Amino acid sequence: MTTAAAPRAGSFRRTWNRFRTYITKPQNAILLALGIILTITTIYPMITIVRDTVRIHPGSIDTQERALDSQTEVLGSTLTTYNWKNLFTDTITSRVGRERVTQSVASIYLWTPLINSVLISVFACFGAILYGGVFAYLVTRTNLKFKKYLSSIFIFPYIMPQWTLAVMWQNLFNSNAVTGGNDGLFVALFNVYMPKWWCEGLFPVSVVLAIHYAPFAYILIGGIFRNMDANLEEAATILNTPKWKTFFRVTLPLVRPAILSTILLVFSSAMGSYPIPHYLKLSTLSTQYVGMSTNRAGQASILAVIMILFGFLIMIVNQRTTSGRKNFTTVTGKSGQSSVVNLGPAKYVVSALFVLLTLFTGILPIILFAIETFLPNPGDYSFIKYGISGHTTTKWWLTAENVTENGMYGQKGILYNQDIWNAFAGSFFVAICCALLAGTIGTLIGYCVSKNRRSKWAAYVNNMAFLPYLMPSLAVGVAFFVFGSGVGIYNTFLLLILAGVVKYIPFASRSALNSMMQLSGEIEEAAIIQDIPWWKRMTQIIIPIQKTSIISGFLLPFMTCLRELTLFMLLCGQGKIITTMLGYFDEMGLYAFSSGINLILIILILIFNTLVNKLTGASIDSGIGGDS
Amino acid sequence: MARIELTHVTKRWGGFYAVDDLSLLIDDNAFVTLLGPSGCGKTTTLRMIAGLETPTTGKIVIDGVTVFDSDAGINIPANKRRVGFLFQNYALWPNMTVYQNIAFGLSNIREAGLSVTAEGELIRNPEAKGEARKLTKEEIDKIVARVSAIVKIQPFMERYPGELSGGQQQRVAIARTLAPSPRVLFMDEPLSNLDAKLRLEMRSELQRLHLSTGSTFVYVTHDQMEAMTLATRICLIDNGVLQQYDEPLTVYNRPNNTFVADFVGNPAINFMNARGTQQADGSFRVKLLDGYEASFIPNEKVDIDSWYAAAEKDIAAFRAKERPAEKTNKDVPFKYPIATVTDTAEEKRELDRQDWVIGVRPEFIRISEDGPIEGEVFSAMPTGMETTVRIRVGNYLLTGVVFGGVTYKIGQKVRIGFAGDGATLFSRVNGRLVCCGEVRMA
Repeated sequence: MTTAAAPRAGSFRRTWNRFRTYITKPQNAILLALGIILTITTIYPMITIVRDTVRIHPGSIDTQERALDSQTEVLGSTLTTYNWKNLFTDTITSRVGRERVTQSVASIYLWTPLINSVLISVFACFGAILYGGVFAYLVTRTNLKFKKYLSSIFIFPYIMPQWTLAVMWQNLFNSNAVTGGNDGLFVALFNVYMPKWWCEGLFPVSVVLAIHYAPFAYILIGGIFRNMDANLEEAATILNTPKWKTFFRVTLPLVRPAILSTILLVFSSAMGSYPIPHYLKLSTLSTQYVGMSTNRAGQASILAVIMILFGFLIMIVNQRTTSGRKNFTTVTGKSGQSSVVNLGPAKYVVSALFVLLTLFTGILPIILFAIETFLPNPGDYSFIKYGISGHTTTKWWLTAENVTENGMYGQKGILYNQDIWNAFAGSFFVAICCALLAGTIGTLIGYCVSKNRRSKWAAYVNNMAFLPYLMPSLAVGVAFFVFGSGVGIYNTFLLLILAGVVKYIPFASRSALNSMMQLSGEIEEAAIIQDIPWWKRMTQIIIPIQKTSIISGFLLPFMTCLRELTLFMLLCGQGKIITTMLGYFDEMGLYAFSSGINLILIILILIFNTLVNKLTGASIDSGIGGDS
Repeated sequence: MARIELTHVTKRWGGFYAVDDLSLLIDDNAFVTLLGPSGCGKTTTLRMIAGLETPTTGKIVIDGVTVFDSDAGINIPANKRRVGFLFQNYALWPNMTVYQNIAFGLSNIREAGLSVTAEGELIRNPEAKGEARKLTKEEIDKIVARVSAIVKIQPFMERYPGELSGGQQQRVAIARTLAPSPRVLFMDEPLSNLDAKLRLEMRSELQRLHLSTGSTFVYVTHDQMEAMTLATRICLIDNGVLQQYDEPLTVYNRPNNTFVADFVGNPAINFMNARGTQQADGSFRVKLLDGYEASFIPNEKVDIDSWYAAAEKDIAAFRAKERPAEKTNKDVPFKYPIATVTDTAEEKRELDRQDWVIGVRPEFIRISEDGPIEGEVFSAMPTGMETTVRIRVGNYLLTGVVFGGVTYKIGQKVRIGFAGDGATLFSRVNGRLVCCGEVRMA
């Protein structure tokens, strides 16, 4: 008996000792705590969505149906399989003109949006990589002109709110004859009527998404191009390899990892984007979700589940592709000068082309928004023909009292409108809280994971923190909507901040992990040996050394948060933050207000970005994962 | 001051044994080098003693205090072991000036029994009772002044590490390590990032430092020259297993096995396969270099049968040791290199007790008119002080060192022989040293 018990007691004590040794290291304790918290905050809301698909929603079709169908009783009093059954098996008969058309529920609510979502995601990936990749190559490896100007303006579309370009597309190409509503600038200026496919639907959504996410591709691919050892290509040149062969066999394989990560990021972001397909009128999973919200609440949750499944799929692909083998070290240290391809006289043509393109994507939206706020009526560009006086107005800005005439609908001008400024304050509050929390947690994760490179638990925590990044924004929003309504914190800043933090931790953890990985462990060990406590090691050694990338980890959540709509729109009332406020004015038809808000938002973000960049050297590039 | 004792220390990652059952006694005030090829486990050993790595099993005692014991569940963290550690890439904090780098650790000490001598040496008495206190600004200044004088970095106190050369950074790192008066100083390849000339200079400074501080030094290197010149004892590790722990000259002259013989010494030792039996007088009559007859006369008599019995018992004991996981880094006998002109196919036969390896250091190869072996000069590399000559004998190449600037013509016919009683005889079956002695050609 005693001989059998002794080793067991010994092994228990050994396990206990090992645990004690493990937990006394701060990075392990933090990792353990964050792992548990993140599992709850990430996984639990998702579970609530799945549960929501079989829950009965008062006032929606599943309640009415339940009274008729006694079979659902099998599942108990609060659960029903009706939502799944109806979505996948039933049909809807509707009147189109004089005919009665019978369609399956799934084809309207599921397959069409799903196919559209996948299509825009694929096209957006393709477009973003083509546009961003070509631009990255031109900027880093050729003697293109105006590089500095071009590379900073190129990322404007990403910094600006998503819907900016969509709204601009409308402002440019819409016409009363084709799309209904106001005439756009093209009609006003050139009397050109663009066809419907150009103005609405798959094509413009894909193009706008591609332009919006091209900066991703540019930053990631450009990072590799910039650091790529020119010797790699020179070696091929010495061996008399043709230029095109060098490009396809040497250069392209080296940027493959960057292309892959661009695809993964853009795919899920595009899929979860709400404002762009909303403005440009395409039925996708996200717009469909919002559209069918109350009557078919349970089925909407099924759409969200599908989006989440896509997120998991992307995560698995990401795991497969980024682990090992094909991740090349392109930074070898030597050979500072990279070979520059001479474009010859073409460089002026190419430069001019890109200046023009970026003018459209980066500068024009700002100008258009500004003009819009001075037009007496939306789309009334008559001042171009008849001069400024009499055909422009400052009423949208300067009206100081409540007036119902003049198309103001009782709103004060932007500068005097307390609601707008409250919403701005709300946005700032949420953005600051999110940035502080997400930045801190992300930095800690980056630090702890880099300290435990071999540990499986560290890898798990890292993945858990990264997962929301690959989840479509709307799906995360839905998850927190269902979760928040369940625990009674709907329409509180708490819920917004919670969702924002979970969604934006990856920005911070990625940039922190990247930089911490480059920090030799010996730097900290040198302090451990001298008995310097952990918080002092962090505040006096690690953080000062890595301050640039850590600030980037705070900056990116802040800016993204300020302009976030998709994630937040389900979580609060419309006056809470500025982006939902903007949507409200859009619905009201007060386009001058929404343009004004857009303008202020864009300019604020740009000023802020430049300021932080100049002051600290931090930039959003390193947050996305490029090496800058 | 401090004696370090390692008992059956093992570090394992899954089935990989980075350090396999290492027992080592490092005397007070010793200068021990942990030597071995890269990836052999020497750095892991050092980091385990310092507390930066946790051993899987075993026991470590520093200065009479058990700092780690897997059975008793003791694991004093690195920061409480009061040791100094000099890192390979210095690990200077780039955001602090030289002065701050040195003073940062000091400003953090808070304990009873602190005092600083007039020379600026920090005296710590861990047993002292009384109120814990911090060092004053003046005391820190004094200590920093002292250690920076030792390594001569006073002019750079306000500079940042990025503004210093590699050698100066190294000195700052040393000063930072010395400042809190560690009982033991650990160094992990501290000179490997310096250029050749500076390395030589720093090497002699480290030697002086060891003398003046009187602390125990443990030094990791893969450079056998560094180990030979600095250490009072060399601990040679391969594949996680201790190969030999002896004074440098013993390691050089009486290597335990073919691995040690090959690893230590530059140019490397000449190995020759030999086959033959022990004679009644204790000598071995063997054939070597494809047909030359020779006898190996041991310096002290060996009873070969009992030698084999002892060796096999030893090997069996090592293999029988309990290992919780299957070992993935297998212990195959070291494949000693035999230099040849063209690669020859390996002979495929079972080795037996008549197979030997004879090792002859280059300095024992004599080129003379009446040498018994005929060869021709294959290559000659004069450095001025000495000339390294490779001589071709049949298909074999033997390396010799001749002092003085002798010039040889490539292809020139020479005669060589083996001088002195410094040759070594190994068993080819297990690679272990049988005895030292003299190779006499028939």
